[in-house]
Amino acid sequence: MPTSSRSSEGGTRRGAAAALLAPGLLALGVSFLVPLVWLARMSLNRTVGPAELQTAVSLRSYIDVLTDDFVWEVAWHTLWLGALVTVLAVVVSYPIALFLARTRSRLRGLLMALAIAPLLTSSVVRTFGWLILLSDDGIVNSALSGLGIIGEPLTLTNNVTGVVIALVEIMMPYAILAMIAGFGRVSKDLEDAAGSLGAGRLRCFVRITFPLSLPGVLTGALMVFVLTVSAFITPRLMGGGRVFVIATEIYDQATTTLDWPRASALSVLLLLLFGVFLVLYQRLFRMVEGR
Amino acid sequence: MEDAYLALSKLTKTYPNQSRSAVHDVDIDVARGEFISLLGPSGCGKTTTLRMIAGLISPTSGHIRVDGTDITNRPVHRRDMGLVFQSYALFPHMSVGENVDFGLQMRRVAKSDRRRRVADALDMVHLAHLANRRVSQLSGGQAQRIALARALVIEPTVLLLDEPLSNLDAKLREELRVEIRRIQQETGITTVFVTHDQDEALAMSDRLVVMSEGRVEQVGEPWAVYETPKNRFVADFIGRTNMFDGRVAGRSDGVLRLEAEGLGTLSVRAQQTDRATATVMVRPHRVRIDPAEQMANELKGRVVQSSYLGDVESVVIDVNGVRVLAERTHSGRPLTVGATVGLGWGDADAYVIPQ
Amino acid sequence: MRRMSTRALLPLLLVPAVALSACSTGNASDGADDGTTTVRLMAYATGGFKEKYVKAVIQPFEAAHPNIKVEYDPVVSSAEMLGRLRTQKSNPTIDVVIMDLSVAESANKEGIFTPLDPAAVPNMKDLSEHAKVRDNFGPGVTFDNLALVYNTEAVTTPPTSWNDLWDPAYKGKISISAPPQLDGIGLTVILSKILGGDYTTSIDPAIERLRKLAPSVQTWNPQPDTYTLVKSGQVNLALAWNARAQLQHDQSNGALDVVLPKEGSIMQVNTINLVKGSKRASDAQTFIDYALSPEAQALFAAEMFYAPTNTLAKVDDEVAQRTVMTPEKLKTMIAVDWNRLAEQRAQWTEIWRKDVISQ
Repeated sequence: MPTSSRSSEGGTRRGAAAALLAPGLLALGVSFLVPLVWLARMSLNRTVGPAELQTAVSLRSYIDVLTDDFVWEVAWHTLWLGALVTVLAVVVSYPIALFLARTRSRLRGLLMALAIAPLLTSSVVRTFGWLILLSDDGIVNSALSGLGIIGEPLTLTNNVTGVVIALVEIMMPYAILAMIAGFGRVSKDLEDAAGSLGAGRLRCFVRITFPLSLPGVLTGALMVFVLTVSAFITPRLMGGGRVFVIATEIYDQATTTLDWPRASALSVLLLLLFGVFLVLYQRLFRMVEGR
Repeated sequence: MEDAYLALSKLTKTYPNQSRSAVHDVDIDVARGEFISLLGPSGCGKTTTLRMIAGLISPTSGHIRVDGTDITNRPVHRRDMGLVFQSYALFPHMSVGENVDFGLQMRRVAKSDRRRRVADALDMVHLAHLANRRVSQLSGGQAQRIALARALVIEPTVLLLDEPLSNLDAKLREELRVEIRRIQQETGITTVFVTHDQDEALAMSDRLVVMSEGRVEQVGEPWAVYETPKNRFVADFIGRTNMFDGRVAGRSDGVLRLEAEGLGTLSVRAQQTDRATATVMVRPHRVRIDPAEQMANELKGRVVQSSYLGDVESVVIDVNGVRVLAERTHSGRPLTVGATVGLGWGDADAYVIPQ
Repeated sequence: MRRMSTRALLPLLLVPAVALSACSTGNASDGADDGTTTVRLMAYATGGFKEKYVKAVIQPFEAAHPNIKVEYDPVVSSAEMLGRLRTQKSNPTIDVVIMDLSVAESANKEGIFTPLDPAAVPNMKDLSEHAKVRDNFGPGVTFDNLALVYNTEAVTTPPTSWNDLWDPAYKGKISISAPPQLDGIGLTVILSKILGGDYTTSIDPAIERLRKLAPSVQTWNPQPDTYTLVKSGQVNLALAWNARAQLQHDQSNGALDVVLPKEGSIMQVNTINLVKGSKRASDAQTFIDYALSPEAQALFAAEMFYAPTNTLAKVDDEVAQRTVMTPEKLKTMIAVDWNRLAEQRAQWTEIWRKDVISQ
C-alpha cells in the first residue's frame, strides 16, 4: 500500500492538522467551554432572600429544582412538546428530504435552496409571521371561515397549538438537511436491484428505502428534538404565556426572578438531559446502521 | 434469428434536450442459453440498452420480446430478470442469506422451499458458509458472487450483468470471469453482459455486440469480430492493430495488391476488388521480425520503441515514416531502440476492412 | 436562553484582560487632560426613556457642570442591569444606575451599590416618603403606577374600574403580563385590596377572582409588547404602566388611552444608585443630587409622565393630572412592601400558573 511508504510524513501531517484545528478549537473553547464552566460554577452558588446572589459551594439549587413539582411538570411538558414536534416535523420533512436526496433534476439546486431558505431568516421573524397567519383574523382562519368549514375563528395563537405549528415549520429545514445527510445508504442501485427481484414500489419502500433511510430519520429526529427542547423564542412568542418549557423557565429565572444559581442548575440539568439523548441516539444509530 | 429467445427490435432511447439518441434502432437477437456481451466505449449506449431490457428505463420506441412475449411495457418487478450491478447493490441492512432470500420472499415462495433454494444458490457460488455474514464483512469478490446468487435464485428468464467485474482487481476479475461463465453454462441461462473490457468480452461470450454512439457496429462470435471486423471502429476497438490505407493496384488469384504510402506494394488475400482504395489491417502478433522464411510482404525499419512484457515483447518500428506495431514471442533479449530490423507478414495474415 | 447567557458572560471573560490593562495604564479614564470627568449612567433603553432623560436631565446638568460629562449606557431591563453589574463588581465601569426598586434592593444587599452621602446629596431630604430607602441607599427618582390601557377605536365607554376587566365585552381581547412580571404581581395586590383583604395575609380571594378572568385573556405574555397590541387592536384592554402608556398615547395620536382605575393602584419606583467602588463617586453624587432636584424632576415629569419623587417639584396641572402626583391620586395608591413581594414572587408565579393561567 502506498501509505506505508509515506509514514514518515505522518508526523508533520498530524502537526498540520493540529494547526488547522487550533483556531476552531480555541473559538469553541472560548465561546462554549468557558461559559459552560462558568455556568456550572454559578449553579453551585446560593440565592438568599428574593434574589441576592451569594458565592458558595452548595447543591441547594439542584435540590430545590429537583424537588419542585412545577419543574417536573415543565420538564414533562418540554419533552412532550419535543416529541410531538419531532414526530410531526420528521413526518412532514421526510418525503421532501427523500425527493431531494434522490432527484437528478437540474432544478435540484433550486429546490434545495428553497427547502432551506427559511434558515436565512431568524426564527423570531418567522414566529411573528406565524402569529399573523394564525391570528383570529389571519389568513388561516379567514380561509377556513370563508370556506364555511368553521363558524368561530379557531384559537391558533397564544397557546400550545400555535407553538407546535410554528415550531414544526421552523424545524423543517433542519430536519430536511439532517435527513439528506443521513440518506447516504439510500441508493438507486439498491432500489433497482429490489425491483428486479420482484419488489413493487411500495414493498421496495418498506423493505429497502425506509430501513436504509433510518439513520437519516434518526439524525433528523435528534436534531429537531434537541432544538425543540431548547427552543425559547417560539414558545415565548407564540405561547401567550401559557406554554411553559424549560428554556422559558430558565429565562424567567435568569432575567426576571434573578435567581442565577437556579437558572444555572436548570441549564446544567438540561445539558445532562441532552447528553442522555445523545447517547441514546448513538446506540439507536449503531443499531439501524449496523443491521 | 428465428429462434431468438430475447429479441430487441428497433430499440431506441432518446432523451429530451439531447440531439443524439442514447440508443438508436438497436436490433439484437439472443438465443436461449446464449451468453452475449455488449461491448463498447463509455457512452456507446450499452448500459442504456441493458437497463431497457431490465425495465429500468423505458424505450422511446422499439420492442423487447422474451420467448415471443412482448414485455416492452412491463414494469421492472414483473420482468423476472436477474440483475447484477457493478456496485454489487447488496442490501446493507440484510445478511447474506437474507439478500439471496429477498427475491424468493417477493415471489411468495414457501418458506421451506426458500431455505433450500437459498442454500443451493449459495452452494453454486461456493459461499454457503457466509449465509449469516453481514454484507459489510464481504470482500468485493464475495459480494459479487452473492449478488450473482441473489440474481439467479429467482430463476430469471434472462441474466443481466452490468459491468459486474469493473470494481475488482485484475486477478480476481479473471477468476470471477471463469466462475460466471461456468455458472452460466451450468444453469444454461440466457445472459446479457455489459462491459467496456474487450478481454472479458472475448473470453466469456458466445457472441459479441460491439456498440458505438448508440448503434450496433457488429455482432458476431468473438474470433470473427476480432479477425474480420466490419469497419475501422471495430478493428480499432477490439485489440491492437495496424491499419494501412492504400490505392488498389491490381489483383490476381484472390490476392489484392495495394500501394501504401511509405510501405510500397502490399499483398493481401481478399475477395473484394471493386474499389479504388482499401484499408488493410494487420494484427501486431502477425507481424514477424527478421523472419527466417520468405514472406509475401517484407519491409525494413528502425526500432523506435520496445516494451518487454515477459511473455511478449511489444515493438514499434518506423518504416519510412509509417509506424508499424509488432509483437515478438520467445524473444529472449529485447530489441535495442535504433536497430534496423526486417519485418514481414504473409498475405493471409492481413485483412481488408470492408467499410 | 443560551444566547442571553452568552451575552451576559462575554463581559466576564473580558474582565481579567480589562483589569490588566487598567493596571498598566494607571486609570487614565479618571480624568481627561482638560479636567473634565465622565460619569457613566446605566438606565433603561426602552420606551423613549433614554431620549427623554438625556433631554430633560443630562443636558441641563452638563450645562450647569461643564467639568462633568454624563454618558448614558442603555440597558433593556433592571434585571439585565443587575446581571451586568454582577460581572463587573470587582472593577466597576458604571457609576450611577437607575433601576427598579425591587432589583436595586438585591444589588444593595450584594454590595454592588453603596449608600449615598447625605451631605453630597442634599436633595434627598425633600423626597417623598415613598421614595426613601433604608440606610441612605439610592432613593426613588421616578414614580410610576399600574394602569389600564385601551384601544380608543374599539372601546366607546372607557373603563373606570379594575372590575371592567371582567366585562364580557372584552372577552378574548385582554392582555396581562403574568407573574413573574410586576404587572401580574401588582394586579394581585390590587385585587386583594378591592376584595377587602390584604395581600400580606392571603391572596386566595384575588386568585379565585382571577380564575374567572382567565378565559377572557388572550395573552399572558404580550408580544412584542402591550402597547403595540393595544394600538393595533389585537387586544382592546390591557394592564400597562402609566408613564410609557402616556407617551404611547401622544405618539399614536390617541389610538391608545390610559386610565387610572378609581380603586387606585400600586406605584412602581425607580431608584438612582451609586455603584460601590466608583472611581468618580463625588461627581456621580453631584449628578444624583441634580437628578433629584425639583427642577430636574419637574422637567422629566413633563417629558415622560413619571411622577416626581421630590415633593418640591412644581409641574403644571396637565402633567400632574397624567401622573399620580396629585394628592387625591396619591391617596388611592396601595402601599407595597417590595422586599416582601420580591420574596413571594416565585411562589405567586407558581400559584398563577397552576390556578389562573391553566384555566
